[in-house]
Amino acid sequence: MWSRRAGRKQQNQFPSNRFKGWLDKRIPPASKISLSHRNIFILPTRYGFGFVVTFVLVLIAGINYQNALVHGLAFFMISVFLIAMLQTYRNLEGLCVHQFKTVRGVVGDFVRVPIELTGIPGRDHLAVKIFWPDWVTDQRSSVQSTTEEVQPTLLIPHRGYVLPGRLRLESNFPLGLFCAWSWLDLDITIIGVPRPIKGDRPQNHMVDQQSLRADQNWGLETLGDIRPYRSEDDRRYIHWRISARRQQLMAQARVAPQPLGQWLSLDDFSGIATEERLGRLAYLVLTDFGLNQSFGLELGGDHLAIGVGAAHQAAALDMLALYR
Amino acid sequence: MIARNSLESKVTGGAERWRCTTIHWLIMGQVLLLLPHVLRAPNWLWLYCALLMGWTLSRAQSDRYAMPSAAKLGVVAIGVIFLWLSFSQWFTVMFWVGLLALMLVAKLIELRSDRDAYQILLLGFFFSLTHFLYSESILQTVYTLACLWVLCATLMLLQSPPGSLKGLEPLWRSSSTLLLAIPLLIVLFVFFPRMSPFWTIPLDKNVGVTGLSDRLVLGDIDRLVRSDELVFRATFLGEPPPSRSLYWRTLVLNELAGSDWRWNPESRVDFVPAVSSSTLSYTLVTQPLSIAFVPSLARVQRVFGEGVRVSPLGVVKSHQALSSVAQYQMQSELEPAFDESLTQPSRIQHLSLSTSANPITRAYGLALKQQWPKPRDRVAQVLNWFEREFTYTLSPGTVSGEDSIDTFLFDTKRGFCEHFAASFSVLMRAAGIPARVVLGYQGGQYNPVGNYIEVRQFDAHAWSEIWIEGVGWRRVDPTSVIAPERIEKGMTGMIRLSGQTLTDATWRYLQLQGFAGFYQLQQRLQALGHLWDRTIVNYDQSEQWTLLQRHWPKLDTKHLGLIGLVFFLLCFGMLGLSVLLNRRGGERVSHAHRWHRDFAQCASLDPSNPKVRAKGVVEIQEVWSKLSPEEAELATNFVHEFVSHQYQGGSGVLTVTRALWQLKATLLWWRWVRPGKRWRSLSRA
Repeated sequence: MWSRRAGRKQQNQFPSNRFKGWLDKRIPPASKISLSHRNIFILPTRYGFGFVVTFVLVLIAGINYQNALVHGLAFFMISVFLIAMLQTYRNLEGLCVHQFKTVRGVVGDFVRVPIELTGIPGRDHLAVKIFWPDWVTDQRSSVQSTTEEVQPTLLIPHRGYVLPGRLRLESNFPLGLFCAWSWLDLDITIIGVPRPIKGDRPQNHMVDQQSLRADQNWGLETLGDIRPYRSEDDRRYIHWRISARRQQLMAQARVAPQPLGQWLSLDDFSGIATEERLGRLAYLVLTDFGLNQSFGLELGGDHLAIGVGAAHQAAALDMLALYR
Repeated sequence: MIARNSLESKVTGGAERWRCTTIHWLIMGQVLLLLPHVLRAPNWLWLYCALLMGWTLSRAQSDRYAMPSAAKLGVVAIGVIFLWLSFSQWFTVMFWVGLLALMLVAKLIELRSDRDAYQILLLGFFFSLTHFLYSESILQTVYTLACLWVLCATLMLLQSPPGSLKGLEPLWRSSSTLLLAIPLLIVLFVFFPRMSPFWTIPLDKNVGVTGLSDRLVLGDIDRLVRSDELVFRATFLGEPPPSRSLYWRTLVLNELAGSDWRWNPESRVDFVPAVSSSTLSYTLVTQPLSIAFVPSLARVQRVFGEGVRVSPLGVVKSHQALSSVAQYQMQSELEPAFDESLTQPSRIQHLSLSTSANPITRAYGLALKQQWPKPRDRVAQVLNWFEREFTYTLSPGTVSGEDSIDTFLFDTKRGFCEHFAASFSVLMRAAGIPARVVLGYQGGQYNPVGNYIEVRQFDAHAWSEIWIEGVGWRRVDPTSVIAPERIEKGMTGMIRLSGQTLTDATWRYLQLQGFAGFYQLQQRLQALGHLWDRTIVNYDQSEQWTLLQRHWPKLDTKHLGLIGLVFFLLCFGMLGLSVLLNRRGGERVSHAHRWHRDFAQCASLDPSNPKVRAKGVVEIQEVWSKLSPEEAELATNFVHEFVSHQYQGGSGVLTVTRALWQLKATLLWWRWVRPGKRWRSLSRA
């Protein structure tokens, strides 16, 4: 239900393709965008229009009563209006928006997307709202000179890559008479992971738990080729004798032994729809195996070697998410 | 990471922040806006407003805030019905002010979201204009500005995230918006083309109650009630005349009915403008008055101002009551040559007496006429009698009835200017001399700070004018013979001399003048008020025109808008730059760094070049002297100061900066005169 509603709204956000094309040209996708006159739009809010109407009424009253001070009041109002315009624009100007992480979320859930905002030193950027127009708003009070991370929320509508549309940064500060906003395409990778479904654990590919743990010990690797030392290599692998001979640090690569673990496959579940199978697998990956148990994944010809840890889990989830 | 609950709480949190702070600020703004009207509107309205505000405040903390819609409707309906009943007239301004106040406060009961708060605030901005319909003083303007400030602060509070602005912080934060708006406000105020009204709603101000009326009934006033309310201020071109000759004629009462003197607009007296021999030019800034006459000095020749003319009786008549502060320029003839004639109908009118009232006075007048054939002798005789037997008092007691003039002249003999003027004129008519009563103001107080004469309601005075063949209309002030100090010293002096008990609250004004410090401060404040009235309150189409013509004599009316626009855009552009370029502490570069950069630029070297950056100031000068030794020599002073500042702790930052500026200026000039220099070297060769 959520996703359907979201989809409809998303279509409404950009009414014409022509406008979208123009916007793409004007504010091209980038992972780091600095706000300036090129990408800030500003218009009066409905209260701003109300303020102008009030100004006109006051001016008419001033003219009719031939009262200089009522004239003054009207001019005061319009001056405040114009200054508010400048200050609202200033509130967004110079703000730098940066997104760097891949975000994963379960279908049908809200996910927080970490976005870095950097303000101009010495300038307050107060009450800047940052959100995807169709979703729930996350309002930030202020961004000051230091870099700050905000997390606008997003609902994951479907499995696979999610294109959330343009991110909206908005501010009505100081008086709410103007709304300054920007539509940013931050090149964010958001992956919708199938919603985990609890079910019976398939028994067929169970592997001995004893041997499973063995791979976590260091030193069981077999020796590999000798090659120049790279900074990411373990110092223990430096081959001192050859290094001394070649006048250069050399390291001997190790090849990890084929780890033992359970193979998970789409074929483990029979008699249910593909999406549900993916859900079952996601449940296994997320909860049963978690971060501590080794497993491999086999999806319609694609293989993920047996492994363990957060990176392995993420890779497995990506595979499930992007399965066609 | 996945949090639906927290989001839901956030959604409701939007409504939550409504409570307390915002409501307090809204109510504070409303109270400030309503305060100036407290004495003008009926008391029940304020009770009603206070109840609604109290209800809102009591509910601000609780969760169930809204009122059922039927109840809301009922509350508003009660307010409107009461308003209707207490005014019973649609078209009075106070009714509309009351209605606006009602709407402003009643909106509180359906305060639920940002939208309602904005409606209250916008209505508040509109409501603040009603302040100026009743008062245009500096104090009122400052007060209204304070109200607007609070409204702006509330707007800002609505925009900021809950809890981010505490206490009076919204005020300080919004002050920058207001301060930046002031230059624009000034430009718009000066240049915005003034238009004539589209339609008018008459103002029903109850101002000038204590002023003059166009009737003089002797018995009516038991005790003189006067106030210190300002009537007008007059600025003279040159030295102001002495106080005793300042008779500000305002109303001429030329018709006598029994003992009542009235103004008869029908009468036609031939008014011939005199050929001016010694004219007196002056400017009057009048405060709102309930009458349609502008005070002027005898004999007024010309008047410049909106909707006024010199009436046939020689007074300045306006086409409507003076409902707002206005400025008039006048020219008067102080000693007019004889040029007047009295036509037969007006002679009869100015001699007419009621045949039944005041028999003793009429008989006495007739006796005078028979005894003294010359009119001058009759006048002298009567004044002599007045001087001997009459007493000036501010509490004369009542003289009433048809024959009140008889009672006063031959019985009580105690009174003030109105008694003397009225009875003197009746007696003159009885003695066959055309006479009338003039109401106006006498004297006034000179304010040396603002160089003007200030006339207040207690300067109100009445005197007579009589017609003498071969001379014309002449002023006779019977009060001046009975109580000369009233005329010589003015009303203030009179009170001090006579030592009367100061019972009236208004006399306190005079008492306070006894303190020298207070008196001086008062004079300064009054002068400021006068300046405000003349320049700001009275700034209209013609004033705007005069101001612009002074600076651009060749200006055409059509270009006013254009000039205004140019100034507006200039001002707005500058403000825009100052707002957008203002980066507090943005570029934190040390002095030394900046000096080095600027100096490299002076030497025509690129400061961003790393090779240049690596060189010190002294080294740069060496390189420079190789390129152009004459130029580099100019920099000696700067290099000296720089080295002294950097390495010896000698020169201050300012000294070095000044030296750098000097170098820049000299270089500019040096490079400018180079062609001339070449010519010099050629001639030397």
